[in-house]
Amino acid sequence: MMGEERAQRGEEAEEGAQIAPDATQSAEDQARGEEVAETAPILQEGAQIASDPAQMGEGQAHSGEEGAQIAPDAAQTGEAPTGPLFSNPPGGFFIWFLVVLELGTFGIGLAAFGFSARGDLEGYGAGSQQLNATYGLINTIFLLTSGWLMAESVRHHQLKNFALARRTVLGAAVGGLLFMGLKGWEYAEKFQADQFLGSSPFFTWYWLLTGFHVMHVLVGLVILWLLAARAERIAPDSYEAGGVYWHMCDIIWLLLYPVLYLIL
Amino acid sequence: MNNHVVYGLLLALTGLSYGIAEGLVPAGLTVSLVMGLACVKFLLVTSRFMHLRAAHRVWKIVVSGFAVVFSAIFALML
Repeated sequence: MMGEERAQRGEEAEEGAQIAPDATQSAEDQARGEEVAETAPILQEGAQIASDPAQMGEGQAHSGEEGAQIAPDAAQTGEAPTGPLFSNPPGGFFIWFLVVLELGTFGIGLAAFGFSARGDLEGYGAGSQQLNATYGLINTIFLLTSGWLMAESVRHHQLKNFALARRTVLGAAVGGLLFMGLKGWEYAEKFQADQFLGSSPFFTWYWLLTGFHVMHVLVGLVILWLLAARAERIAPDSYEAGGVYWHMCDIIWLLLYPVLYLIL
Repeated sequence: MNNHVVYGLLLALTGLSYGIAEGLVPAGLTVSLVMGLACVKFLLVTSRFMHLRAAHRVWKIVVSGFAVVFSAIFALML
């Protein structure tokens, strides 16, 4: 019996020895847990600032500076692998990366147009005179109105007023459709007047630049339709990303319009 | 400045650009003024409608810098 008791105690002692490191580990875990508990409210605060702008006023909805400052702490804890540069842009990193890429693409195209025009100011000027600047003005008003409605839609969506968000995004889509309608009318006129790709250097550039822009507007209209159809189910950041894409179509047109219609 | 004010400003600047191009100012100033106004409209849309003002300064510099450099190049080139 004694031998059995000793053997049992010996097993318990061994077990205790095995448990001891675990106990040390659990103490470390506890200490880490306390650290995490201390940082959790800060992270939560940051997350609230970053993800729920609807609870703030209109002007503050996108300030997000505080949340951005907290983000590196989150990255250090391993919970958020991204820093403020990547997490901060309203709508997310990827939509802004796309905006920069598109601006670069259109910028290169317009710069090439400019250098080409510089070598033949008379020819390009004559081409530009063939365009109806009033069509360009009306289309600019359509896109600006559409962009304003889109900005209102994003604001209403962040305030969780989905009915108004849907109504305004549909208004933005109507603005886009009106733009497409007038652009189609203008294209038809140019086509009938044999002012198509290859008819002159100016019109080659005109069709390439505006055609590329029209393709973006078409994609934007599909995005607006999706935003309207699923307003309640789309996260605020994704909704804003859709808005950023639509505004990108605006800002590209804001550069195309004066270059093609006004200054030559 | 709320979205309605920005929208009103954008419309006013668009009308002004059109007027300048139609001969409101001497021809030598047209390109600089029209491109300058296009740059201002670009910055208004990006900062107010696209909320670029809330983004990291790298994004602000890249996007705003593009508009400024682009407009300046055209104003100087043509």
